[in-house]
Amino acid sequence: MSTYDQVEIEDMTFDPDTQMFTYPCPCGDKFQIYIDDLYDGEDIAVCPSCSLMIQVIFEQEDLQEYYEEAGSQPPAPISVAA
Amino acid sequence: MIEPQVCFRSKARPVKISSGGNFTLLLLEDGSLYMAGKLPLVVDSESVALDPVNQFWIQVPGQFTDVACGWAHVAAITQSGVVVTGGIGEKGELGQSQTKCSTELRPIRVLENRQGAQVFACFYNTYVLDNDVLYGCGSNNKSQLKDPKSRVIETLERVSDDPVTRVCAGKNFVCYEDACSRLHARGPMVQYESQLQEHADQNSSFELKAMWTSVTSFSGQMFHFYAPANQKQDAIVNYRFPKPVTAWNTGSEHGIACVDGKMVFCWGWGEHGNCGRIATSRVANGVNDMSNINSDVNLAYDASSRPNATVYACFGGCATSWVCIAHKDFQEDV
Repeated sequence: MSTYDQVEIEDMTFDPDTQMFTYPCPCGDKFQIYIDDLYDGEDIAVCPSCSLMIQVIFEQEDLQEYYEEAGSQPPAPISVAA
Repeated sequence: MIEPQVCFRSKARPVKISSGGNFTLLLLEDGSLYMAGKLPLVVDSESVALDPVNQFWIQVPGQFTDVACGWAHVAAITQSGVVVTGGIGEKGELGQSQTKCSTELRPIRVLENRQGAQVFACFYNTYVLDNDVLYGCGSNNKSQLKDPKSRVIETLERVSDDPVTRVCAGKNFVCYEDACSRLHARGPMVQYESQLQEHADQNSSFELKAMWTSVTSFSGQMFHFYAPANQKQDAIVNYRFPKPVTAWNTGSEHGIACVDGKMVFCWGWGEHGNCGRIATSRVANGVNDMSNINSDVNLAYDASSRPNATVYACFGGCATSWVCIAHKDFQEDV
């Protein structure tokens, strides 16, 4: 998958209310991705107004401070019945 | 072809157009400043009703000599020699110390020398060139302002040790030329410093302009490009126009060149119609059929059939292209 750019998570803006990281897109809108999606391993933030995407550079442990800021917890693993 | 979506008509010639994420500032040769879009500044509502011709545009009070826009902020120089900023600046780009939102333009520096003073801005950074010294504030996440890197620099600090003659700024970098014609880069663009110098040494008429993530140079009617190009931002390299390029500029991720004062070509990322549609498209002029997302060098506007019209400048914003046209028998048009 070809992405427009790579962006470190510390350079993105986190909104504790929406639980979303955003970053300016050259179209004027903002790339966005939910913290839970990042926690689940997704690293591609998309722009709702165009086809561009960015790859978010992060480690899973980087997310803990943002969960604390939002007063929330990472999603619990889904147990699968045998 | 591009069908103009927004126009500005004036007897005073527009000399600079600078765009933020969702707004545009337009500076006229008489010092008047207008803005349009999702405005980062609040102005007296009386100003809105004063201009029946350009209703989309709101005049910013005051007289100015330069203007530049970042993602959500404006930097300008007043005719009295004061650098002012306004808008939103979470990373310190307002240069107003702790202030992160200013709905009016506020002073941040009194110029030492008005001659040649300029402002530059991109994304989360503001730069001021005053008395041949380059100053900057805002994000320092890639050491674009100084070493070591840091998240925020809230007031103007000196960026260059040497006297600086010209500057271009991108999302997280700045390039500048010193008085000895040496080119310098800070931020990720530092890896292209030697290439820039090599091309600059080959031609005295060397010009630099920046998209968000790259630099384009123009010298001897040839363009060079510095950075990876995922959206054909480098399509202009090795392209030969049949007539001289008379003006050129860059937007967030696209380029614009005017040839022979008549034809305007665009290239690079054109998803929002900012590079025009491709010639084989069957949709009506002005309709973005998404046929030209990553654009080769593409004829976007042609004034050849209008003998009294001359394209004298072009500017780029966030997925927007601006064409300045002088009419012999009327007035300036954007």
